[in-house]
Amino acid sequence: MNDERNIFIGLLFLSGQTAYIQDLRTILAPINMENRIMDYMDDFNKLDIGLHIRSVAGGYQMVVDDKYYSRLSSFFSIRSEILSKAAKETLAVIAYKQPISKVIVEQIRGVNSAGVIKNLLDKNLIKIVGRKNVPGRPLIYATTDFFLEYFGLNNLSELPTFREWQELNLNPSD
Amino acid sequence: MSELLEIELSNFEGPLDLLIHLIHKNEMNIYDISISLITDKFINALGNLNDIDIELASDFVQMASYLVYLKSRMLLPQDPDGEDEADVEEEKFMLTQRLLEYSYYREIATLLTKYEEISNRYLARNECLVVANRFYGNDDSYNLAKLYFSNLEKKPKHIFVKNDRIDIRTIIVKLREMVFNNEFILWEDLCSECSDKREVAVTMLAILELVQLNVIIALQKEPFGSIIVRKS
Repeated sequence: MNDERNIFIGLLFLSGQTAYIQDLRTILAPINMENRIMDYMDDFNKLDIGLHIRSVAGGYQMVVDDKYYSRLSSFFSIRSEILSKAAKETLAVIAYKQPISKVIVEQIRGVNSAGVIKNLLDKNLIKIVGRKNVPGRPLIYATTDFFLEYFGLNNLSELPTFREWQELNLNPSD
Repeated sequence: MSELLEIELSNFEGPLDLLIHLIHKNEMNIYDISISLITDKFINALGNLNDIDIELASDFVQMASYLVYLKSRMLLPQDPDGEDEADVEEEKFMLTQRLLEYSYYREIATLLTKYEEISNRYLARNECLVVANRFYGNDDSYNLAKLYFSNLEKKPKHIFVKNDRIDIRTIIVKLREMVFNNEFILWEDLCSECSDKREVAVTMLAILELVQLNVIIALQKEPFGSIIVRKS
């Protein structure tokens, strides 16, 4: 019997959303917590009961195994909407350059981005983190935890850096 | 041959997207683009610009004019004493850097599409089963402001729900009273008491009902003439 493991699993079941490490610390014993959680995750995922726990956005979330996606999504009419190309391009710029103002986003993309930014704010993929100390004091934006969750990333460093990308492109033989 | 593929501007995210597309199509090296050639191709691509959204087109036109400017600068002899303007080669380098940076983000956007596809396949609840004691996340100023303003917008909107059902029984009671208090009533008088067409129709039904029950008599002397209602 491992009460802590069962509490952890129960918590993820009830919440459905991502449980962040800082929140888990208030419920579980904080010392060496992350290592134990890794074990609990393994235990649970080994059961192979159609559910599994994934680590995402610096937290943990209980999800359905992806192999059952097509069978279940038709039944539950689940989000099939995907982001537009412009939205993803803008997100990429903000993810790398954050905190960043709208003007800089537009400079990099070469197009007006006001509508896209509003849309991303409404979808909670980016947030306003303050104002830049330049004339006009423009708002500056950064990506949210939900951004990581949406794309199944643990943190921003999982995206390739400019240098990595450049090396890949210069040696297409790889 | 290169014109075989029709270029649709709305398929491009912006002038930089189009520029990169043209560079690849004409098999140029992004680090050494021929400004002259790319300018021609770019302006050609804008050819059928007439029926396009001006908001969208302005960005493309701006890029086109910049390319023409760069091309003309490269044609002119360099003024060794000119200090007011940046070196042409340097400007071309800046453009290359800009293109490189943009194509990097473009690539990341495709990578994100891949991640999105994978991540979307993991189904999860999007609502909590229980109300959490703690206020998790989402407490940023934009969301707060959005909620506040959406509340402000709601306030002045009073919704009047009108009960427009007219009960035939209340009309019958009213009609009975009127008929028994007066010797007779004219249909026109009844109509003028009604607030809308629906009530007129229900009054008509009420009269027919009372006639059938033999409570009142309705008389009409000629077609389209006045109807007199009195007790039987």
